Amino acid sequence: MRRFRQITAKLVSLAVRGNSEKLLAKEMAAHLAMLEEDLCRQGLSSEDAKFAARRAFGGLERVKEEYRDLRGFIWFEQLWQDVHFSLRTLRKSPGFAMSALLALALGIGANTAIFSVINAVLLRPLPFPDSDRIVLFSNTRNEPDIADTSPARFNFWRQQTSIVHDVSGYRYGSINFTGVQQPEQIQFAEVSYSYFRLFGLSLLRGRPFTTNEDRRGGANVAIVSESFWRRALSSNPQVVGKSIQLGGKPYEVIGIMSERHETQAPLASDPASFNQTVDVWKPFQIDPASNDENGFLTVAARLRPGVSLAAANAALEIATRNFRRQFPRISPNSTFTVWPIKTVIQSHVHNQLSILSVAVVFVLLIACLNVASLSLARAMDRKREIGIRAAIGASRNRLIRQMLTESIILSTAGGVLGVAVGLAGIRGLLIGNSFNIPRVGQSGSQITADWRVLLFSLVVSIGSGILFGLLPAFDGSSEAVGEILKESTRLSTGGLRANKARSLLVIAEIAIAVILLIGTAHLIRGFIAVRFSNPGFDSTNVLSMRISLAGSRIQSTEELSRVAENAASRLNLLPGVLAAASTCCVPLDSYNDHLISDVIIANRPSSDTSHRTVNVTTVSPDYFRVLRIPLLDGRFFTPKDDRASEPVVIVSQAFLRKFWRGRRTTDERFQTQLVFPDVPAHRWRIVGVVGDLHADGLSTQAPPIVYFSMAQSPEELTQYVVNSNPIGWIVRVRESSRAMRAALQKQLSLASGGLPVTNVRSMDEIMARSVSGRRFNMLLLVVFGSSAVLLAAIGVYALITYSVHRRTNEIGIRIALGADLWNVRAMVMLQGLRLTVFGLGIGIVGSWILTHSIDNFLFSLKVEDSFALTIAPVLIGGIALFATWIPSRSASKLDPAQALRHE
Amino acid sequence: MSKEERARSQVPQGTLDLIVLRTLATLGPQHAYGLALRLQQISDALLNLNQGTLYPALLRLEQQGLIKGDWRTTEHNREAKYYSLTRSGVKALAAETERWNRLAWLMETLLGGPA
Repeated sequence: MRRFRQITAKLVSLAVRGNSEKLLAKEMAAHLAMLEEDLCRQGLSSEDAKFAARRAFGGLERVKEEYRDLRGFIWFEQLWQDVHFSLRTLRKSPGFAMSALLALALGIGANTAIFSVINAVLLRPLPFPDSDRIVLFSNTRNEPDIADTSPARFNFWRQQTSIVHDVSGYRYGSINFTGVQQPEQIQFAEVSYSYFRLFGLSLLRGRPFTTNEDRRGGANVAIVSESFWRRALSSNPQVVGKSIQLGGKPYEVIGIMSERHETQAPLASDPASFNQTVDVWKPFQIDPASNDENGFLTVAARLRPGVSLAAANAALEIATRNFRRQFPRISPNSTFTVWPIKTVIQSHVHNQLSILSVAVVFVLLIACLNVASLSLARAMDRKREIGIRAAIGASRNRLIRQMLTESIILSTAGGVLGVAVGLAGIRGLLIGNSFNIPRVGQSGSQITADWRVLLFSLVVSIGSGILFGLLPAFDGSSEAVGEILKESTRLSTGGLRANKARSLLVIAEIAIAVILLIGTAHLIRGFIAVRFSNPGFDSTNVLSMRISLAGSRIQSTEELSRVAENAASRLNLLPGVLAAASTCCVPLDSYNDHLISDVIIANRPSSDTSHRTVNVTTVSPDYFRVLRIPLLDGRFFTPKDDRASEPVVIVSQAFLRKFWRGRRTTDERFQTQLVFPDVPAHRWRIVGVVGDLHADGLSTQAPPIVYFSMAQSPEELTQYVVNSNPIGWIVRVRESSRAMRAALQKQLSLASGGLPVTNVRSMDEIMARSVSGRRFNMLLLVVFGSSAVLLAAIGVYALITYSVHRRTNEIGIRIALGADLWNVRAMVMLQGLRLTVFGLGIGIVGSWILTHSIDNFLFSLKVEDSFALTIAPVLIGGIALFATWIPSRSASKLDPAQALRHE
Repeated sequence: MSKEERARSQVPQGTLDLIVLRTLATLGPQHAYGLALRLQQISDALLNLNQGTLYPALLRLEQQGLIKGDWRTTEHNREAKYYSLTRSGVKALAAETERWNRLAWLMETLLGGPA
């Protein structure tokens, strides 16, 4: 209680400075006076009494000091003094303050930007209740690869009630919203009835699906999102119970999903769905007896209370064996596992974000070294002032504290600026393209400056301030006071130790910049190699667009091929169109275009079934012409390949390599068995071999592909294709203008009976999107690398300029003694050259060590190290030399007479 | 300072506070000089503190709310700050005195018993 009162009294005295000094003086004066009187009465003379009184009292000033110290909080008052002083001195050297501020803003801003992404993706808690217990199902043991899974497995997993409950399947897609003035293609989510309970999604109005509605043949009900309700249903308050047209069928609206759940779609395997907003939810209606092994959904569940992850996985491993008994053809490497959602997200972004984190730490280091170097120079100039302060009685701690205060103020100001710039920058980068990074929201809207980000920036700012502030502080406070006061302020060869320190700093800067730049060059090389690698087709001047036929009257192979033919002939009539084709699967597009199937070769014993999966694609005859995929053997499809003629297929070269080790096969018959339930076996003959297509991604190997002509595709395949993904049209045009795109859209819409045409993109765009993630890294690293080089160059420039300035006297002497232009220039440049060479050397060695870890991110492509290792040092060396050259010029232009007088 | 002086002037902080409180309790309101005089009297010059050292102690006690000061005129028509005990000061004095007595009794028992 007493302590509390004491603290309160101290706080009060802080606020109210007032008269306490005067009152104390008065009190002590009265005390002394009374003491004097008594001593006089005892017989001392008035003079002696005065001295005696003083002696008895003790040191007046010391008492006053002790009193003052006790009155408030000393440390706080001293801190306040330091802050005031720092602000004053910083204002007096605006050049230093500005450059330090900018450098720090750059370094701290870059770190904040990356951290804000890390925060949005990894640190922010998931918006689901008890999200640690929510897991996603996967088929692989070693990594959380949540590739699409099948209804059969979903049903199987639902039965594992001892370890999980609320097992829900979901998938995302687009569907036509018609029956209104403006039909549009909207985003839907097909979900199990337990989905809402699992993810804690609350409804604004209405109710979630019942188990009845989620069974095969159940009612067509839908839940709309709040913003869709506002936008397309005009916020009709009576909307619950009304019917809307989705995919040509009527759905009864039974609820409205609250707005805040829209951007929180749980993870699925397709990166394009990561930051999408869902407009409407409908029940999945999977048949619990289904044996369908086609993968198109993601499955999530909640672990039962008390069940650990390890226990669940152990139980699942045993369960996999049971499943294999029922489905003997699944791969022997398949093991069912569950992974917490956080782990899955982490594995997605781990590589990307860790390399960026390392890069920004480097940038910050360089910025700090830069500012430290500048601070050292400034400290050299302030030596006299510091010496005087030390002489008056400032302790070393006090001096260091003052200099640290100044540097922390600088770094915090830089931090504030950096946070603003960093956040704006990263959001700007993410506009319109989320680079396949989950949880960042549309145009980076989920990346905010929440408390974690701000705390991080604060810590980084203060840390940097301490880092670059301590260096000159220690240097400036330790020298003998006497020596400092005796020195003249501008020695011509003075401050040798400080100069050495600065040189070391600049060397370090250059080394780090080299490392960063080499890493960047690596990444750029890798990116270019992947991005511009041959995808197997010619993507220039090819446009692609999609129409969703789900639920339309176009359901059979015959109808589909008729529409395809109609569309193709309409499109071919347009001027500027060279060829047009349709397909189920546009290569490299982000939709779930992986149709896979098992294949059995006729007349061959089916031994190892696990390696017999191929990609399956249905195409119209002109597909290969549009994409300019080369024909290696046999022939393309023709319009004569229809239902009446012999069933034929075309395969890719990878297919040959896999099954026939490259021999000619156009005469062999083989049998394909599609993995659909209740499908009788068909036999197809191979009539052609085409070049490889990197259908699964530019950096993965070309898969074996089997092409079906759309007119000959089995009914089950057509049904599946039509209802799961929008059909794609690809058109080769002379030039792709807006008018051309509009014309194509119109013709397609007419051919399909008025259905909306969407996703009009060029193949080049699609290819670019497929390497989005790498591009993100590369772009950021280019920004960081250039900042690093810029900072290092400024560091070199500042150092050399300052050194020339200091050596003015000496240079004047040299010129007077006969040195010519080039001698002086060479002398200065040599100094810069030495620094640069050292820095480059250390940097190259350092990056050699780090190169091996960077190579992990470049996948299977072997990038030559020598390119990156030579271009980075050359670039930095050149810039550094240029930075040296400028002051050397001014040095050589010195007028010797003036220089000699310089002090 | 000579050894004697050092020995004399070592007074633990807490005890000075207690002495001041006790003095104020016995003598009533005093100014700083009065306290210093009284201290010299009773301690018989054993406690030869510099008189100035009272001031930090007085400030401390005032901040803790155990004494309060107000300005009055002395008999010689001088303005001086008089300190007096507050209610909590009285309580604190009682508590501290008891603590010291207990401690003294304990030490006496420990040190005075059979060797």
